[in-house]
Amino acid sequence: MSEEYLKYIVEMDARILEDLMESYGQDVWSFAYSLTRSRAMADDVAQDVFLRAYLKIASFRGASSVRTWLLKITRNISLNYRKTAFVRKVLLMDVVTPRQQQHSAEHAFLEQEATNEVWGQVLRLSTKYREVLVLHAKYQLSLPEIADVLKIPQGTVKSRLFGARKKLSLMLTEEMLYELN
Amino acid sequence: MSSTDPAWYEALRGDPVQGAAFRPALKASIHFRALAGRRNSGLRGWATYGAATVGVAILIGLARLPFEQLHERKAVQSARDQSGRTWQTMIDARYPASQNEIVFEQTNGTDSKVIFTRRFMDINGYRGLSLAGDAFSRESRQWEHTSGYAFAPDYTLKIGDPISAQAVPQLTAVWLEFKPRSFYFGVSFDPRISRIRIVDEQNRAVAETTAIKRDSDGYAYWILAMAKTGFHGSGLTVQGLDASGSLLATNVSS
Repeated sequence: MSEEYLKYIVEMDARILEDLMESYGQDVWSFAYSLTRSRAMADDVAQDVFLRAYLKIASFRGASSVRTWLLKITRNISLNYRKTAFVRKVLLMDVVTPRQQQHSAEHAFLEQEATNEVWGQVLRLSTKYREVLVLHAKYQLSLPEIADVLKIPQGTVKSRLFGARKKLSLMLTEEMLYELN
Repeated sequence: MSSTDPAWYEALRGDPVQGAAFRPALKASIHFRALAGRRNSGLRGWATYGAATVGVAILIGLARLPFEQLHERKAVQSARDQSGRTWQTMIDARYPASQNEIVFEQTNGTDSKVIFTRRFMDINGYRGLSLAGDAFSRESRQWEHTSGYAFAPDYTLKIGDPISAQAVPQLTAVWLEFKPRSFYFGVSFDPRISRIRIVDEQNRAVAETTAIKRDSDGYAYWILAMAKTGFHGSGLTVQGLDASGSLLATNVSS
């Protein structure tokens, strides 16, 4: 979508919101998921991201692309969701889920949910490595853009990216060896 | 992908998970909340509107329409504040863009009255149902502002949508923080559920109620007061039980 005009508007209407969601909804959701590793939380984060963009469009001044701006908001909200227990949601299902299953769900969940083996391993990385790798590999952001999203120096981005690649390569190799054996 | 990137970079170009992600129902929910917030709060943003307001929006297909009024609504509507205004009038004035129906009133401490409402708004072919609570101070004679604000966790349901249908909740609750108490306010879509219980991590009941109000669709509404101050909802499970005490549903939380 053409983004140039967005830096001049102070109030977003429903049509612009629709365009934004159409263009970047999946990107926002996927990034939120890769940070939270939870579909439910990614849903919540995606909603909050677009609501914030809707209400705070005046704060967008075109210093970065709209996509980078939204990813930055996504990262901030995702971290807030993870850090705080303030938001409590309760979703009762018609099937009783044993408590043990809830606790042990993470590994099985990540393996089953991931699109492919590489994503499965990425989701097991620490957040520090995961976010920098996802922004570089999936979203193809430049180092300065990643530094902007993560609010860290470019040198730190570079070293984290190096570490993340090394770690993931190792994990993928180990996984391959495990399967061969 | 540059020539220096590892070969596995290519595998990360797609989405991390298969299946539903940014669904149409999710998009509709955002529209609903955005427009509701704008209508209610103007440019201040909905994140700051509505003292002590938390909603859980449930998008249901238009097939559910028209939604009947709650039983006992008439009696509740007759309640008035000290100036003689009805709570219904005050809530309607506060949220003019939605159809507001008071479900419960609850005294909270010596000064505050909490009004629990369900609200409806039609957006883009969906009907949104929001559960919310607003606290009114008798002393200051105005709606209170809470010390903290909780974003509403939204659940999206669209009847006929096979993806959403897989995750249709039988009971949804939202946690509302007021001082000195906080509350769970929820709705059950399973007519068999007649008792709500909240248990801690050791499966000890910390709150329970059979005080459930049903509407003509069989949806059941309830509130549970949590006396513990500073309670943030973590570590607790909400259970839905039938009349004999059999567990029909329990929560999946994140």
